[in-house]
Amino acid sequence: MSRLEVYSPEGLRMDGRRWNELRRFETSINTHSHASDGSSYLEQGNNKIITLVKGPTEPTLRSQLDQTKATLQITVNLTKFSKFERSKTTGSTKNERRILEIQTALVRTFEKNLMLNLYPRTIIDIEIHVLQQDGGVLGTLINGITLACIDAGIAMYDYISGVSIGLYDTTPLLDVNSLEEAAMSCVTLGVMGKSEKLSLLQVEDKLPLDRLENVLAIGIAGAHRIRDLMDEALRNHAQKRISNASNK
Amino acid sequence: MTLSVAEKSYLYDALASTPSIRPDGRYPYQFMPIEIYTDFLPSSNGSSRIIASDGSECIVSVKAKVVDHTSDDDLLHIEIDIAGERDDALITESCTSLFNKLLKNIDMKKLQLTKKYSFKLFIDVLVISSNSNPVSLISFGIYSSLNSTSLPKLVSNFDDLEVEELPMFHDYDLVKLEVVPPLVFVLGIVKNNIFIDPAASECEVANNGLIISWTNGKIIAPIRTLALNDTNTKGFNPNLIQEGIKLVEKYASDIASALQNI
Amino acid sequence: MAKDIEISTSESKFILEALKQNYRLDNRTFDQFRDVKIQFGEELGDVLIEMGKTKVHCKISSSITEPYEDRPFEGLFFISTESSAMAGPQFENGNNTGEDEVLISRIIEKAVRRSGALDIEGLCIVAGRKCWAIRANVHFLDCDGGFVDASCIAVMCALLHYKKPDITVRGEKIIVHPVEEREPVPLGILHIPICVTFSFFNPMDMEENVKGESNSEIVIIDASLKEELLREGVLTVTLNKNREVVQVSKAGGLPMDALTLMECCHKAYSITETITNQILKEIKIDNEKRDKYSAILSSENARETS
Repeated sequence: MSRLEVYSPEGLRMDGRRWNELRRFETSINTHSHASDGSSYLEQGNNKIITLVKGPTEPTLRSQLDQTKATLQITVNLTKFSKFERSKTTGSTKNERRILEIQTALVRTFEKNLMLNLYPRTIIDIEIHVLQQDGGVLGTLINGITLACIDAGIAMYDYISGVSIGLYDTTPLLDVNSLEEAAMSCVTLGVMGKSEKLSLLQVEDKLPLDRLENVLAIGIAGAHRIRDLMDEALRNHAQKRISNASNK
Repeated sequence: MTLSVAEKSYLYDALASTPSIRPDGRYPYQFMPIEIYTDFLPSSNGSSRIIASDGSECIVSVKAKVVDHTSDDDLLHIEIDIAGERDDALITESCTSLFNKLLKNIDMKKLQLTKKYSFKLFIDVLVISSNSNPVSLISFGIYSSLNSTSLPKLVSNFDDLEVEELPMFHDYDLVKLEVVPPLVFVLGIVKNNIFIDPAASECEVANNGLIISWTNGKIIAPIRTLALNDTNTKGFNPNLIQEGIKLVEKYASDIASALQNI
Repeated sequence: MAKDIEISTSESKFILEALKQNYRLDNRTFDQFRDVKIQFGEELGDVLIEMGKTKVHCKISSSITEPYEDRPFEGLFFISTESSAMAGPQFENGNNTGEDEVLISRIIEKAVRRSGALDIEGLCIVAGRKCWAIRANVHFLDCDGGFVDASCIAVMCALLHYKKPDITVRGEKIIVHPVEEREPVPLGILHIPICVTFSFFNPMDMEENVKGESNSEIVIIDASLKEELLREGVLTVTLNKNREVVQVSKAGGLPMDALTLMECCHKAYSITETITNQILKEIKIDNEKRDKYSAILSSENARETS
């Protein structure tokens, strides 16, 4: 039996997880207190991302000034060394359509979640550096932004948690890694808090229509677990800061 | 960083006095405290993350690829990305050209695998935030990432010109890369005083700056002047170059051995 | 969608209020897709799609080139979407990096190219040496919303309509037979993806949308330009007749209940079926028109086909 079997008859995946198990989810908050107003470092499996939130600040360009709400700007930097094989493209990857698409999707997701109307005439600049990617990056980016925005103290309605689900034959696999992502069709979800409301939904490959509901159900359950993990991490972090503050 | 006229004048006078008084109480030869983590990216052959106490941060990744050096003799490729700056911004391009020159000092023989094949190293630098000129930080980052780089161990024959074969590697054994990359020091000049690793506030009032490179116990080219701000820059006493070189010569080996021991 | 078009406060209030009372400006019901008008040009692979006032033109062209080194058995297929100020003042000339332009072109790319609607292995002539390059040029002529839906139909119609010249391969030599000499061959189309776009409006405030249980968001299919300007969220579902989801894109916007989204997908399926049948029917009619003499020249016996 090959070691690279996507899903074994015994119900184990390549990395030894069951179908409904998430990857390792570790995060630290307020990692770059000098460089930004809110920051997070997130490891979801082998995805490693740094998120910096700068703002709300006065915009440098007049075009970024909105009288009614804050302008949200998100830059995603997929570093060239982030994949196993170094990216071959010469020159900048910043203007690739795929990256522009991800940025737009993230802006539109968080525009509806952050209470931007509370910060008129300002800009909130979110910068994400992807140091390593291993499948389901979009979901990880969503989680990273949620954590960093909470750290920055920007008012928001609820957590948004992101996760990717693959469909292997008829079995949905939660939180796919890059090998699984390449082997099957995947769905990425961005779920609002503990609700069943989807802020983001992306399917990029063919998938039977009648399986979609099942996949969404697993995804929403997984996203709720991620929300809890993020909540726990944030509460622990806050606890630590409170005890540090009271010790002084 | 924007300072008021009064603040600038106070800072300038303090730095220009003998002995100079730096705002954070450092000696002229003293660096800001830095933290370095190495080998935290499993998909790279070597990596390092370096954070200065003022929040400047830089991440370096080293990836290796086997190439035929008879057709591609450029064995080191460096790319510097400074967050918030465009790829064709002056600062990015000047850093890239500086390091392209400096890395020529590395002994390329160390990268040779067989008579036909060599490792090509891709060094990617990501400066996440920097408050003053990042070259010194970048050079420390490159030093420690190359120092933490391990490459697969060759098990096939060294001589592959007679019998054509592709290099074969051991399944899990790695060999540490033994190259000594150069270090770069940034010095600030205020009146007749010179001091190492200027902080953002010191850059704001400095009359000029120097970039001095060092490897293996000696000063190497390039030595450059560097304008640290737009308003205060002016000429300086050429003796200060000598003084700066002496300062670097005296302390660089300590820094190199500190970086080596990570 | 637009940056330069702005809608007056009173008009936007009117449209939203009408939506709350179940009315749309063009008297359609909420889940009614506009009628699609397909016009074929003189040449093969030249199609004009009209959906209400939205007009999209697509032209297919082909040439013989060298395949990519890492994919020697595959031909090339490009879709280029060209938006110019002709479609509306909101489109800047030559600017293809605007948010909406990128999203439109990416969705069409995923729906048609990535999903393998065109059999690119069938475009290979000599492995690693020569292959067909098929190019679909989409031009937006007039904009009244629903660009993605219209351009997807346009590209698929054009691909189905197009025929490439027949060729003979003799070793390294390739003979391209002119269309007058030999009947050209149609492209291999593996499935017909159809995009259906849903727009979401929130009659209450944001708080209700996030925390509330009512799910009172308004969902409409195939928004017109004015509705597009006012919408708070958008979902594009691409399906084909085999009940396969080809692509779904809800890039942010108003959070929507998962069940509502599933309902949208099912609604999209019935629209997909109707449009696919319409496309196939019109292609057949056009083919018969072009082939006036085939019935006389055919040596086939008349046969009952079901």
